[in-house]
Amino acid sequence: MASGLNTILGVNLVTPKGVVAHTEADSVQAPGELGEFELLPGHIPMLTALKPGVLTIGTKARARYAVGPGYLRVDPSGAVEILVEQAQPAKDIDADGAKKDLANAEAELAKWGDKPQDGDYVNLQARAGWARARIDATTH
Amino acid sequence: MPSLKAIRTRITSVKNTRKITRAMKLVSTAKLRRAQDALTQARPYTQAISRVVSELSAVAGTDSHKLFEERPLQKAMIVVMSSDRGQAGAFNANVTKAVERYAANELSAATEVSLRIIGRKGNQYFSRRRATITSFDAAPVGANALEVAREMANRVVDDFTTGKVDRVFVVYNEFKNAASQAVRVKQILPVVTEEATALTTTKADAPGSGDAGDFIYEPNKQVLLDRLVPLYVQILLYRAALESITSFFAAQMTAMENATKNAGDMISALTLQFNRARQASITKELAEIVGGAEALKG
Repeated sequence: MASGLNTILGVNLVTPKGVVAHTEADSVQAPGELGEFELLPGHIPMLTALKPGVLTIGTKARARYAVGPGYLRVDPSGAVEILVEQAQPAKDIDADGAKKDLANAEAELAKWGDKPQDGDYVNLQARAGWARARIDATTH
Repeated sequence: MPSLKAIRTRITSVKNTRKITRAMKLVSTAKLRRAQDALTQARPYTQAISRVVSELSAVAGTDSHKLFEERPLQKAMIVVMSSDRGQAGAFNANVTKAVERYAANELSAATEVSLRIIGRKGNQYFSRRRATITSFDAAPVGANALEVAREMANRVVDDFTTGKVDRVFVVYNEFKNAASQAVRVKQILPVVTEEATALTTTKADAPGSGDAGDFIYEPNKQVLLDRLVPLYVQILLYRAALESITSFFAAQMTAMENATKNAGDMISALTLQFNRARQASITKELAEIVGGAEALKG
């Protein structure tokens, strides 16, 4: 998929449930750990952490996804590998369901209080993050 | 000798049982195929995350990260993958036996072995034996396996980082093929990857590791490890859950096939018995008639 001229990005979006997208695009917008960023062809090799948010592949023919935490890796050959815990195309998202999930998770988090923030707390945060990502993917 | 009517009732009942076992076999065959697909689909992700985690640990050094930290074994935790239902031969018994054996032998040095159980059958078994059960979740079906694995991963990562446990293992049935499954015990924390150790040595030996140095790491290597190693733990558990689901259907398929065969054998044996009994009663009746006629002749 790596083009020598680097005018196009070979993008591979992978989740544990399989390859979600295997395509070529002129750009990728991703929710980086340090903030949203846009990746263009010819980028130097990079490995970056992604937080739950909205991933957009392409500027002209845009494909939007809600994605969970993961990473984005630009290979020395220029191929872009995006690995996320989960991904859902924006058009398939049930926005009301996501809002309900978010409300549930936030209510649970609010109840948490002074209890030690253990693995179950992390799970709730992850659920809230994923719900927010889905809502964002449908609203923009 | 049971009466004709009794035998006929038994035959009908065994025939009904056979219908059920045959249907269950067909259902588990179909589900087995779907579970195998899920295993195949998880492969690209598993390979990619293993590769990135090993690359990253090679450049960042594994001793610096808490999830790689080897501590003296005091408290161990075992994640038990069992099923909610039975009728799958020795599926659950194999897992529970392996857990007990592993705890008694390999973990004999540990002062405490706690269990996080997935699947009702495992929970029943261990709560009857008063084992230390930290958590219990229902067995995943294909659709929520990832969620179950994610939540379990976050919990064990937390247990490990806060020092509640020093080692975490997972025990599950590994799917070899439809006819055979084998119980596997795998250490998940501290993280040991065969690929990681192999890669560390080759990276250190090879002078051409320059391209790794050209990489930009954002935010930085440590944070990336913080984010990605839990994902790696999660995928280990996800794979174990998928293997377990697949094995369950394979075991159920075999068990139900045997049950169907046994029912068939039983039906032929009962039919034979039924025919014999019927013949005996006819012979007896004939003998009585003949005897009566003889008596009338005087």
